[in-house]
Amino acid sequence: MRAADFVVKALEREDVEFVFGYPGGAIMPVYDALVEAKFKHVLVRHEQGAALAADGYARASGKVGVCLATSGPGATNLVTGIANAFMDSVPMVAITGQVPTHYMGTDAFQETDMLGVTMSIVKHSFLARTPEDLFWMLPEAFRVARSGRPGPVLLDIPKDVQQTMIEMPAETPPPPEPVVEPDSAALAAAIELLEDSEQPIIYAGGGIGMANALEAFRDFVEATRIPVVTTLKGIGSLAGDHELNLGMLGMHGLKAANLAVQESDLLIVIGARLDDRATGKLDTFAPKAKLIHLDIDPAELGKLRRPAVAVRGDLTHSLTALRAPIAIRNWRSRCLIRKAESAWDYGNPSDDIYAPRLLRKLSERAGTRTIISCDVGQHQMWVAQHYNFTEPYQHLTSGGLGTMGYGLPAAIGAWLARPDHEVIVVSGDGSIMMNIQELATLNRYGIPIKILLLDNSHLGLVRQWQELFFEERFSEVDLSDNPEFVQVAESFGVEGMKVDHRNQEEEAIEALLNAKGPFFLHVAINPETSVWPLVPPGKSNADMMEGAKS
Amino acid sequence: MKVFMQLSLFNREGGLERVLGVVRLRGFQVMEMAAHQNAQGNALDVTLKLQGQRESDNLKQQLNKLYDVEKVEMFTMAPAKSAVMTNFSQQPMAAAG
Repeated sequence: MRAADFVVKALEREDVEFVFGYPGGAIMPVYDALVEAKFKHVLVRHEQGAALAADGYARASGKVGVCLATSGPGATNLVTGIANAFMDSVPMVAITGQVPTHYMGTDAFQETDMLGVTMSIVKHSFLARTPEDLFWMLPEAFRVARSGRPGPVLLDIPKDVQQTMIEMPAETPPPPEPVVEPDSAALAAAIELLEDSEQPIIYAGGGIGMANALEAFRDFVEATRIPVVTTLKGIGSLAGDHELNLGMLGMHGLKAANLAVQESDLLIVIGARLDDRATGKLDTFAPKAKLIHLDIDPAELGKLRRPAVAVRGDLTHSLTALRAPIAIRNWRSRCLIRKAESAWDYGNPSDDIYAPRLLRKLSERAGTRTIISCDVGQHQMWVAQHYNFTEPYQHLTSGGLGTMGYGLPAAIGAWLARPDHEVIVVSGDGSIMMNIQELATLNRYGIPIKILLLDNSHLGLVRQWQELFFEERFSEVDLSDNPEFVQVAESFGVEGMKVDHRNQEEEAIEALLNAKGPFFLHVAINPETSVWPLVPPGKSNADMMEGAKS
Repeated sequence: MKVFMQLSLFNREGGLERVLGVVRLRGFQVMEMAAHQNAQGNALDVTLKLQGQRESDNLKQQLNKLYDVEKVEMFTMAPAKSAVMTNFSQQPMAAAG
């Protein structure tokens, strides 16, 4: 067999279900071998779509996402998706073709040094210079991608290596992944801090879901009854309507969440990296709080703020050890009263469709077997604030990189991972245009994804910032020359409708959810509607601008 | 702040580049560097003299995460220049982590 056939066999050995990709010259032997593959190849219409679909598949399934592209531009088109996976710790293996080894380093046609290009956005990158390299690099790529703190791994395979005839190597089972046990002295110190605390807050991040520690986390919350705030990626680790869930913190965090953190005397940071969008100005963040920081990645412990106690290890083990009731009744009441007092008012009196209300209604109507795949911008923050999620995998969002164009391809991957779920893209008119070509992928495979486009004919979040922080000098944010989106969707074979009046909100949601196949709901909204609260850049999370109350 | 790092790498393609990339990204400059591979050619010993304003503990942790890095040691006291540049077996510096 050819080494290219081994590539396919190795993917089968990893129980790969789907590979997202796009063929080209330097990966043609692998594409030839794919004809015999037991898994399915999903042809996207741009390699960025392949990487982002692999990301969405990985987040929705908990497995490693796989994408495939040719050398040069095919490979560089993957880069944004790889970086997205790196920033959000998503397990991914990206396989790229490379020019033949004797052409490497000669500036050959479609030659790009992918090892060099991706070095800072992968957990590791491999270049298989011989077929024998593939025998260990392929399984190792999957092991590295899923182990510890997950992330993307690149495997670059020159075309002549793919074409070399080989003997099929015997399968060697991967070594068991060691569980990192938390240090008992650190746990004892953490328990002492918990017992001494009067105003603790749990700061829940995306690492909880990725570590399969949801049960232990929820048990910890129920045992301690400590109020919880979540990061953007931590949404869903505790049900959105759970009494103790104060909501997302940070730049567009909810008032009850931000103020609770600012007043706390102890933050239990779990599977989170104290990202600047969450903390605001770091030296004013939670000024009275000591930190217990729990994470699998030792490089996150103390990276931005030195914890009083750092607990490195498996979150299930750590959280189970920390589970105990603590006496914080007054503090808890204070947090919950503020949560009730600052609950959002959805009664916006305008005739326009009010995006937060629409999303709230969708949340109430859609049910729990729904996945929302967001793009990036105001709509992304409204989803985070107003949609109730019950599991982290239901909320796909580009948190670290903030990749406009993420929503549609990620939704394709998510639906393939969970075809029994309703998968809804919530996008904006800026973001949707960044990967709108993937509507063709919906049509090609009959994928019944629903798209809810919140169209304010602007780059809304940039517009909001220019209004607030650049003296209303609006620069290159007007997108009023957008195409007729429903016509665009229909030309891809996707049915659609457009609404623009508040009286149409229920009708629009029903049309979206009742459509049998893919559906494109174009919702025109007021460009002056802003995202509130907002912590201005460089300010403390206590300094929230609240704008209009509804 | 100056800091000295002594690393043992598995001698694989791109290993040294990755180390230098992390040093740059995490806010440090290379002031001096020496590297040599072992007799078998499968390991690379690297000594770095670095300058930066950020926490060197964090840099050490980031370097330690690299797939190619077997071991990282960090020192805060300056060794004799010859030791930094050529002689990895001598360790006259006070260990800091």
